[in-house]
Amino acid sequence: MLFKIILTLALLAFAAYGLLQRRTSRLVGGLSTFFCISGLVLVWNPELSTEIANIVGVGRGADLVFYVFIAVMGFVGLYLHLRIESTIRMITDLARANALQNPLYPGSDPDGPDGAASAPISAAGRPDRIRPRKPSD
Amino acid sequence: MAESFNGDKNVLWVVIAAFDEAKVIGRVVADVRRIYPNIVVVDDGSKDGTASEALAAGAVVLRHPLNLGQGAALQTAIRFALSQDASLIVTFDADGQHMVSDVAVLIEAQRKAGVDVVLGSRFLGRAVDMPRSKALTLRAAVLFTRLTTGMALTDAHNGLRLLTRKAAASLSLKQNRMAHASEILDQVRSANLKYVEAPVTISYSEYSIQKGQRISSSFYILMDLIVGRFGR
Repeated sequence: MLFKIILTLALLAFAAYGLLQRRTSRLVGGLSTFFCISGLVLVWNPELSTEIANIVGVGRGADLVFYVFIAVMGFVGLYLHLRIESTIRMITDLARANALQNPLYPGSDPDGPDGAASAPISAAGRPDRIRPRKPSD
Repeated sequence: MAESFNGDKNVLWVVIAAFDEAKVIGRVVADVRRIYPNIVVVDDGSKDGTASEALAAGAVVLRHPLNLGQGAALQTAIRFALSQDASLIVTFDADGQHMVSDVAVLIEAQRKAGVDVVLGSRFLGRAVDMPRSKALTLRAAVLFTRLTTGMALTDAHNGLRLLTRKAAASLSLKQNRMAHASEILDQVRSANLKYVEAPVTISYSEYSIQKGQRISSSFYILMDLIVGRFGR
């Protein structure tokens, strides 16, 4: 019983998070809410998974849950990959635009005001050398 | 045609992607500049003095604020060269393993054949002190290129290449890291660009071998290419 309560609380938390995420992505928010609610139903009615498994021809309910889990993880992996790729593309475009807007010509000082706009970002996430530009720069 | 920053006619730009190459980039830029004055170095988030050394040697320097990879840096450099009205663009490695004299070989090959792209080939030319493992990996890359693009090349991953303005403008590299070499070939084929190979010399040094790709990189390049195709 204790495990069922823990699972229920966890799934409810995920379902709430999924509902909140519907503004960002309807598909992801909707699907995660759907799977959480389905999980809740199965937690309290485990025999239902066997009935559904028999209907779809899988056999055991545990096998059906496992297959669905694998499919969902595959979807999540693909979704995350596409999101990461999209973010990398945006970072690349931003870095490129910044570089193209701030070319350094021979004679300029990369550590001076000329180079501040395109200075490398340190591990802490801040430019290594940011100096305020004078209006005359 | 517009004039470049140093007053020369903008005919040919040499583009170099560099990451932590402060030890050699100054010499590489100086060597190239003796013959080809228009050089742009993209400092790809280096933590050493790559930008300072390249500037001191006379290159225009663009800086990525973080390390994105050679493919991303080359695309930035090509974009800059096009904005400077370059009619020919030569991609050149930063680690000093290319010969400046080979640029003339590429130009001559382009003029003779009237092609859009000239690809340097160390197997038509010379590969000095090339490790055996590198040779085997490159042969495998040639086979992979043959299978995936149908292009019968002798050297699929040579950083020394010449692009006409038309070819450079048609390239849009999405592979930020080392898989860009295969992506360039893929795009050359897709855009039906005319290409030819030209013999060049690659001179391996302890430094360039240490900085260069390892055999394990091939696995990551392959994964990048597969995932890249999937993500399109």
